[in-house]
Amino acid sequence: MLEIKNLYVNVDDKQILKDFNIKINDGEVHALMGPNGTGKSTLSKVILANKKYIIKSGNIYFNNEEITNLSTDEIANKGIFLSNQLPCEIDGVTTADFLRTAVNAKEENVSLYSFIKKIQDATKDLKMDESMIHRSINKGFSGGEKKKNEILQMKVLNPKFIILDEIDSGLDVDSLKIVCENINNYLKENKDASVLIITHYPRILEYIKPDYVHVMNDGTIKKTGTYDLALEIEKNGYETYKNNSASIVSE
Amino acid sequence: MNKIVLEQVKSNSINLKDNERYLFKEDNINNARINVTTSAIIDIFNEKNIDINYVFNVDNNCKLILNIFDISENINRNIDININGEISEVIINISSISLKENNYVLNINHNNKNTSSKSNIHSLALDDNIVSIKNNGYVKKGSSKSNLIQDNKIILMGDNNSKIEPKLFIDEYDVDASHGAYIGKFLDDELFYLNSRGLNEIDSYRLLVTGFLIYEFDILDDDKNYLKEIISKYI
Repeated sequence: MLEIKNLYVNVDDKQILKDFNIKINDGEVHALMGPNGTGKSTLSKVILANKKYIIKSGNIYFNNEEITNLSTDEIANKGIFLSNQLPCEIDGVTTADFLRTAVNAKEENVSLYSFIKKIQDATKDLKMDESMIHRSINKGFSGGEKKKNEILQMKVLNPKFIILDEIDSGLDVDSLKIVCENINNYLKENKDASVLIITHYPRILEYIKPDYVHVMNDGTIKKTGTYDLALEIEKNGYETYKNNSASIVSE
Repeated sequence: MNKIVLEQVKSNSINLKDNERYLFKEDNINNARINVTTSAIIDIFNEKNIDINYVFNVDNNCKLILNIFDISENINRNIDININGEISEVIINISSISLKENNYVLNINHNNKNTSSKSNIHSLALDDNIVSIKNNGYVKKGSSKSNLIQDNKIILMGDNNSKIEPKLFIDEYDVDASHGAYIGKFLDDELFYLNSRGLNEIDSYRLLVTGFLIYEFDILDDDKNYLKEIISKYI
């Protein structure tokens, strides 16, 4: 379970998140929607303790343990995974090499055979060319291949809490179906795993059904509802929330 | 392909055999002239202070791959490569960890048509240690359809005055050439990405440094593992 209480975050002295609160229980899927520049991606990086973002006040808890002041790798090893909006390209470091190191950092005594089997199965499930895992991370990958590579890492690292930051951007229809199918299968196999989907558009929510939808603007959640809220946004846009200073919670 | 160990590189000319891999030991030597009349791979893995000048003369239809890895306090390497024959290709990978001051001068002379060269010089400067790279590519008039690529990078792990001088001297129109130079630290985004998968700072740096220094090397797996072990002593 992830809980964020009264979070205020600055970047370069500019306040991005203001009194941000959310609680995501085990097994729940939440969607965080909002227009550009409202702080959605900032939130994802703050949860993973990116040093560019300064927490001015507030707390982040994971499974009732405060993680606000932990380092990025410590948070990741507790089972939090971020699928990045723009996955980083790293010259000279292959996906296979770094995942092997990451798996070893998390769990002891994982045999090379089990690791290879797991990564081979994941590439097949995602319909990826297996040679890609032996190339520099995301180097020369298309937008869709990068997103698939993020989900491949998710499947190998086996997280408990998954943040999908605009996983649908850069994906064609077929690739989006494959990626969402893999996420849904992962959630079926890991009933306690929870997901935070960050998105502008409701399209991805047709494939991964959320239990709750939050509308965010100006660094805070303005309204919480169910999937119907996403459909309302599809119809009416975000304009209503841009001038709405009060927070609304509806079930 | 066999691996031939040359225990002592002599100062007189060396003629390389066809399609062999050579491991050069550079003990007690300051100058070496090497005639490449066929395709060959040369590996040099050096952990000593050294001051050395090489001249490579590359004949027609040859492919030379040179992999040099240095880790030491004082390195002065001057390498002249003369691509004299047509349809010849040279790939130079030089990687180093500077423990004090490493200096590299690479001159690649395209003296004939349809020749290509690719040079990757990657250095890591620990603490306040220094690296200097001068990478010069020359294309002589008449050496049309030649191709040059230079990739020069120095990663700083502290603050220092390392420098790169990438230069192209081209006296022919029909040539493809590009050069790049980067001096700086590993990017914060790269570190965050690896950290966010559970790798701590040391493991992340070790992966980044190893990838930076030896990914381009066309060497045997055993040699790669040997270099990884050496790198892990310093990171």
